[in-house]
Amino acid sequence: MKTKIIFLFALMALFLSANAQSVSYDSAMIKSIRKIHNPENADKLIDLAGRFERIAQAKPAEWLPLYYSAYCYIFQAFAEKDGKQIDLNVDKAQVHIEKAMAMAPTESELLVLQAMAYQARIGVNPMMRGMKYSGMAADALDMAEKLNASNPRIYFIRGQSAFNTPKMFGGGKDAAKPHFVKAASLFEKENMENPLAVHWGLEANEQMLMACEQ
Amino acid sequence: MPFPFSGNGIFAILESVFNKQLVNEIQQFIHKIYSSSLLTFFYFTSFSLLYNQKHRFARIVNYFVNLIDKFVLKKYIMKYIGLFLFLIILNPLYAQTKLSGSVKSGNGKTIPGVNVYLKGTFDGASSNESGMWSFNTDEKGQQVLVLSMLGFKTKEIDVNLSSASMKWDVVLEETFNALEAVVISAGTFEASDERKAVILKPLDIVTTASSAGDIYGALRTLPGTQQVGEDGRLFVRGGEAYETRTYMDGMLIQNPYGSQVPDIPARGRFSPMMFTGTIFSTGGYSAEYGQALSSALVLKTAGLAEKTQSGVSIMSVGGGLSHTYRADKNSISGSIDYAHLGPYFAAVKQNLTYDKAPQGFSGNVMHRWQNGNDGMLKVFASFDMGDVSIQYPSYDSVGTIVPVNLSNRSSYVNSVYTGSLGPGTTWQAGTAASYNFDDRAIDGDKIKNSQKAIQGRFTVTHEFSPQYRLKSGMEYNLNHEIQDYTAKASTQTYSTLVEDHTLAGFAEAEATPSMGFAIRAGIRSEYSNLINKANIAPRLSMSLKTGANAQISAAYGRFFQTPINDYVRFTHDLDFEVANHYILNYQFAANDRILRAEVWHKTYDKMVRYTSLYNPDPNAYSSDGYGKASGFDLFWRDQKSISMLDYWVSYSYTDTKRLYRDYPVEATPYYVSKHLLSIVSKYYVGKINTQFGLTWTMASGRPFNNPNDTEFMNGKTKPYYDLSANASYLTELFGQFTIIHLSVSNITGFEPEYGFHFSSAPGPDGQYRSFAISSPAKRFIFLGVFISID
Repeated sequence: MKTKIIFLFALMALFLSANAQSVSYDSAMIKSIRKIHNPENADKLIDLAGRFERIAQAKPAEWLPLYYSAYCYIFQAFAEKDGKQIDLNVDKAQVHIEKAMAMAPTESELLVLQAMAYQARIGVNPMMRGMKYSGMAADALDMAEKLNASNPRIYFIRGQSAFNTPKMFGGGKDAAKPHFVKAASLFEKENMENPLAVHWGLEANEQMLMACEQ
Repeated sequence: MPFPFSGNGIFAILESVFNKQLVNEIQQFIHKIYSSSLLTFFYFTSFSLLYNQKHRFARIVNYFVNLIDKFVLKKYIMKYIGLFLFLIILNPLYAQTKLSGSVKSGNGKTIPGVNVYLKGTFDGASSNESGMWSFNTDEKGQQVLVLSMLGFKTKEIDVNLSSASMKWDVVLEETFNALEAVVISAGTFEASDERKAVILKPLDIVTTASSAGDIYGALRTLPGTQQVGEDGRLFVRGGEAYETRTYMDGMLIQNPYGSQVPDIPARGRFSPMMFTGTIFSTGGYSAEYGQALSSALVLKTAGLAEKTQSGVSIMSVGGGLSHTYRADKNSISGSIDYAHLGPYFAAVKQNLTYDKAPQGFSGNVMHRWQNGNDGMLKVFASFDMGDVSIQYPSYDSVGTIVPVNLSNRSSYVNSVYTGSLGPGTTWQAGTAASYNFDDRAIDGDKIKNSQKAIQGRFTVTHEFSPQYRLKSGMEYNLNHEIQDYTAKASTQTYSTLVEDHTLAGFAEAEATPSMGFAIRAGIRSEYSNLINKANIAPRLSMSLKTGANAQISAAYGRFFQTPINDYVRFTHDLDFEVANHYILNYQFAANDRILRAEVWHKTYDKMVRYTSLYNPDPNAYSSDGYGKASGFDLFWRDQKSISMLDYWVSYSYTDTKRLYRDYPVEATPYYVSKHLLSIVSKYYVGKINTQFGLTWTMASGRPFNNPNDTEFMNGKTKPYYDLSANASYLTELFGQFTIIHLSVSNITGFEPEYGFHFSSAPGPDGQYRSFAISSPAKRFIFLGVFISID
């Protein structure tokens, strides 16, 4: 009798553990997403990118792990000073962005990320690359806007790029501010229910707004 | 050796006693239980309760248990019940496995950032700066360990997780990356935005202080070139100007320079801003390029324009307007420029007297059509008209002048379509046509040259893999020139015609078997119907990486060129001029610093000789000249050591002698300086948005023939120096992006000596009178305002 009981529960455990993975996709994602948004982890972006990469390979039907992995690589690229490292990180991000775009071709978040990837590449050689990649980034943002005009990150990134462009090239604080204002109003309306969905940018946008007013 | 009392040790013992497969299955089964052990415990207790209370639900459960009992338990589990229980009890002892190891590349370098994980699970880690990685896992048994990193082949290792800690030291193989692979560098200076191993970027050319916005001016700061200030064209490694040919998108440009009047340097016809890629080869170039004895300058135009934009330029020597229209798949640009040096010459003293200062119109239209992913049509058309009239002093009768007039009309059209023939195969078809009309009057003698050139070209490139490529192609060239000569006060016009049809074919294989080794072998054959001769030209070059940042390259090639029109006007009984190139190159590039050293040797054969140029006697010309040249180059560029400062230093040594033209003996030609040194520097000051440039050039004296000396070519000019500066200020004008550019040549006011003209007959003292050839003005100052309107 004892054997039978053990066997029964063993079967149940088997059944449960078979389901355990789909439970832990969400929890693994939430845990890792929390980590990216924690500034203490700024130097662990590569590790986090790797973590999302692993989630992506275990869950090949999800585009979000690819999105977050690319996100980590791009922020790492912005933190790097050496041109080769910038390109290497953006190259990695680019692979994920393209893979994710094939899964979710109408996702405006991916185009925003694509725009950021182009902007990161400018840092390698602003004189040489500025014109080419800023144009490509602007095109990606326009496309993102067509897909989902209420995505606040479009205007946040647009604002940032205007903010960082010298005044004589049509940038500067005054040119940037309306973008941040628009982003702020959209951030307010953003639906925060799904913890996996892309939500970042609210605080950074507020900081940029303050910087514009100084 | 695993510790025998650990869980895994016991499995090892069990494996030796029982069927291995069975132990493995049980092991995984138990592991599944433990992976949700808390839940199991919860259900265990609750169901036990139900069972004891003889609840109806418990009875149902019991029924299923009995059912399973009958079919499975008795057969399978019961037989090994002891073992089964034993394992369950021991399971917690082997709950986790620690995996760790190191990861290196083929050349022994550690690789940080490699993602190491168990396939299909979330368990894994990234390798650290020293290539070490480690993680823990609950997974058991047969698993696949994956190591993945961009730029390397992903490695999958079958592992059996059967001990508490396991280690792997893995070597990852680099994937082939054309952008990172070794590039054949012998004889080649490449300027491109795409390749990572380039020496110059296109913008570097425009911003070089001594270039005055001319491509050829900028290239003269690279080793292997000569400073021939009175000519302006490129003279490479002991070769004459005609031995360097310029190609645009693969098509030969028949007249890349503006038409010349004596002693005034020519400039390139095309703006350097048109090109996104420049390959300047000083020898040993690909079989794709023919009809160039010494050097090939390969220019690549940009694809689709980035945006709709207009431009206005206002310069001290003229002005221009341009507009670019960009649609989705098409872009069209047009520009028109007007130049008139009159006002400038009125303000700045010139050494020569101009009846008509250089002036002219030029314009071009560019169309780009992107057809799908792989198709691209590039059409370029340009026209150019210019007039100049100068009074030269007579070398024979003092005090009189020799008026020289030149009127030039020139046009060029080139269209190239690149398409795909399925995966890995691309084709390119191009046509080019050029027309150049020079109307010259030299002291009353009238010379009219009308030159037409037509080219058709078709190439197919097949890429077997990114590492192996075969390119082959066919070319047809028509060169047609009519020269009408009317002597002063004569009504008799002498016409000569040169018409040559050249047919050429080439094939070239390129292999990069590893990231560290590349080889290119090609063959080219040409037939010229004018001289009725054919040739076969082999080319071979290779490159080997000798360290992480160092490589050596070697190149060999045989090069042919049909004698230029001036030589074949009165005879067709000549042969191709021939050159053999041997080049050995060492290159070290790291952290925005490049060091290049190159040793080269060339032999020339079948160079054209004549008794005197324009001699109508066909027997005056022969192909029995020859020559040799050798030398070495050094190039150093540093963009790193001082923030915002970019500088390069080039030195060339050239030792050459030729028996050609009307030379009575072998001699060093007039355009060769033995030693040449250029230092180019650029410094950007962010605060004032200005880039400053300074170029210093030095060349040792050049030989010249002094008819008062019995020895041929025994004269030597004084050394040449030039210090040029420029500044580009980026600003805003009327709310539009504006560049204000100022450049000044020869700041120190040095008086150059390029050579001498001599009177055609000796004077009463028995001596030929000499006239030094110098610059047309002490210095050239250029101010331009360029406005981009979005």
